[in-house]
Amino acid sequence: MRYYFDASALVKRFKPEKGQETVRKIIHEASLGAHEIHSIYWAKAEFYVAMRRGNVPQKLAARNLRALGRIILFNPVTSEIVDDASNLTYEFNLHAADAVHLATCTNLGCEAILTDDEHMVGGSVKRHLEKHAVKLINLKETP
Amino acid sequence: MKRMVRKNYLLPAEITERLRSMVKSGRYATESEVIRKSLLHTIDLEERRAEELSKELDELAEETARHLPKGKTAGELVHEAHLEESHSV
Repeated sequence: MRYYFDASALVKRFKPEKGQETVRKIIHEASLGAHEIHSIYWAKAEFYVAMRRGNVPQKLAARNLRALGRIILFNPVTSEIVDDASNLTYEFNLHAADAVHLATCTNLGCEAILTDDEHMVGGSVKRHLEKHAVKLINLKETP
Repeated sequence: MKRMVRKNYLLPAEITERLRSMVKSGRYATESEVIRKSLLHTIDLEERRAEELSKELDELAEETARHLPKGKTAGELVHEAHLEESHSV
């Protein structure tokens, strides 16, 4: 299966709370070759900001990202993604970062997206993902 | 034990050569045995690598969780990061 992780799913791996076990299991299975996990390079900056806001030392945040980088493919931000994301910001009233994740996920042909972000789980976004045959996995509703 | 033997497999010449020399060395009875043991070894290595990564991530998560605020979810932290990017916070 080809998964897409947004920044909140990446942070979730390091936060013991609802949804963490799902993220942990998918990463473990991917490292055994069962799945591909994609994200976007931009998510690294978002991850850093979230870690800084949580008072996590920079060196530890960097180690976290290095470990994730051994299994997750961080795809480059392209002009095509930014163009698609720009349209999505109007269509679904999204933050630029959320729109970039949504556009990247569909452009890469991912089959499922993992998120803990409430802006990504709204009905209209869900329908958009369904149109692109992407399963929305809301980490608030998983173990 | 049910055994499946595929006799007419195609392998690159350099691999066939190596297989033959390993059988000649006397350490393996057949070329199939070399392939079977090599695959099992590779699978073991992959499983060990996956376990090591999971363990490393678990240790990092434990260390990171000591710093992260308990009252906020991962989604809320990232949402705040988005607001910070737009200078709202």
